[in-house]
Amino acid sequence: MDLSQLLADVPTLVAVIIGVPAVLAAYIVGGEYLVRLLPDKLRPSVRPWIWVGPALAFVAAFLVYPVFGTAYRSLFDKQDNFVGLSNYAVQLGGFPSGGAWIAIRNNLYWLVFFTLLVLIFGLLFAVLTDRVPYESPIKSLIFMPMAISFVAIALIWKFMYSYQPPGEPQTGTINAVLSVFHQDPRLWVQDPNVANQALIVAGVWGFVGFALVILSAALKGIPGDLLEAARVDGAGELTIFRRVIFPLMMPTIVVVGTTLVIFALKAFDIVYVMTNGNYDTDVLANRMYKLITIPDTGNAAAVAVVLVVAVIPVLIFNLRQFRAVEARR
Amino acid sequence: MGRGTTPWCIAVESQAASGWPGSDWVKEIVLSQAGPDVYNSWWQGKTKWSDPAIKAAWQTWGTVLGPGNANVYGGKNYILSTNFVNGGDGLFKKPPKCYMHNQASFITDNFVKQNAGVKAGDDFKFFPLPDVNSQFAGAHVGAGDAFSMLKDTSQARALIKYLTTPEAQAIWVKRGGKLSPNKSFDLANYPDEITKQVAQVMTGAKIFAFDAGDLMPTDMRNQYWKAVLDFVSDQSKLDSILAKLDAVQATAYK
Repeated sequence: MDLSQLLADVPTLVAVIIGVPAVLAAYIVGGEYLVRLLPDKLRPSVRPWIWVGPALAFVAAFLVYPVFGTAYRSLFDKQDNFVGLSNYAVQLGGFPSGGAWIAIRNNLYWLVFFTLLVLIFGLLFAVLTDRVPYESPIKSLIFMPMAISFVAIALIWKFMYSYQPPGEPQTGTINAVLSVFHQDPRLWVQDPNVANQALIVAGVWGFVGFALVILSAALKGIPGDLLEAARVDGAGELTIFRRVIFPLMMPTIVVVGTTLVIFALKAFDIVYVMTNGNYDTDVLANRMYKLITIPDTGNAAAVAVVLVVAVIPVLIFNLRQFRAVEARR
Repeated sequence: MGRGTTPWCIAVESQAASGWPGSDWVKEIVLSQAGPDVYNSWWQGKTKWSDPAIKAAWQTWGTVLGPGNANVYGGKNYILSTNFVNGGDGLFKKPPKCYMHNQASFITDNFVKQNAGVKAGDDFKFFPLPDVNSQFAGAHVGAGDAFSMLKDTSQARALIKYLTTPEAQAIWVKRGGKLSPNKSFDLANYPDEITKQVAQVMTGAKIFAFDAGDLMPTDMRNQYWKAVLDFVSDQSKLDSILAKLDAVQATAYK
């Protein structure tokens, strides 16, 4: 590390090391002083705003302003002329295969299949590992893909789906397994009939650990006496799962589910690295990225707004469910 | 061909840029078949993709590929899924899977590095893509690195002038894999025989054109690459592929 640059400008260094805490302290002391000036009744309602103020300003500047800025940007074309809603007409026109409709369709595929598969496998693994002695190592193994970036996951699966012509030794795992059973190798990622499914499988593999860990925690939160009582009443394991475990886990399942839905709508890395949206696999985030690189920021902003509008109801639902889970404690 | 081996190896996969090796084929055919005027008007967006001259170029490539890509090793599946750096590997398998591979001069590096014991000149040679139309004989497409001057100062101009001289370009060339476009460049500087021959083809070209795809706007070029993938997947869809290209061309050049 070259610290000589840092030490070359000592006044700035002093200003940062001393100045930042000083300004912060002055802000807090000054704020308190102002609050003290107010009558007792008003203090509790004003004080939180002063303390939260800087953080709110940050969020407003880096989160709220860009959202409105993007929406504003979507009303302009490549040459910065105001074109009103025509970018939306381009993106949402040409139903069913023009504009952004293929991307929207694919996002819906992701939304349904990615969410369902992750939930099903997460629940399955959670229940299966619950009473096994080697539970911890298994859960760690399944959770490991969460530790790597989705770009890495995409590259791994690209190799898994590799193709060599029939008769040649197969370099891709999936096709190698097929050749063990004397089947011909086939294209996975470059075949529009299965490409979406291939990408979603890669995504599920990467994300199942997340669902597993959270659902497992919820599973362990079910009071033991409830399960005991059910067993005493003569219920079989499957009935216990259906009638006791599953309903009690429902709020957690819903929270995990909505998180997965939001992720499915945001899916980008896997699609960009594996196909860049070719072979009918385009998704909204990838489409937006391609538009930005042209650069056609107006159309890209329009896609971004469509994405935000699609996600907002899910976000609200997610928040409500989260509160329901908290209330249950 | 009589022996039953496919003559060509082609590979177009390149992640986000998949399709570009095929676009090289098409633009070389456009230049050689339709001539530099059509070529220039095409990348400038003035000639439509559905124009008979451009459509003919795609169809010519189609005959090289053969019906259902029969003339290419591995057919559509191999072409679409194999990364371009592995495109020539089929030449060196025993027995060879194919006998010819069309690619820019950098590929010799990949041949040697990826295939044990392969030597330039012994195991592979090159020949320039044959003329399609004798009217435009000696036409070749090339690409290169470009310089930009962001601030017009005399020092910057002096540097750019120096970089175009044979002495400066010798430094690059000696590192291998690069060609000098300067006609007075001493060919002895080239590190191997093959690169020297390629340079001779380039500087001796009667008609030289810069890579059309690199000259097109980004969205046009992306659609061009995508069109290559669609064409290899199904050559019979050429008309709808060209229609999509026209649609992008209508807005890309604004």
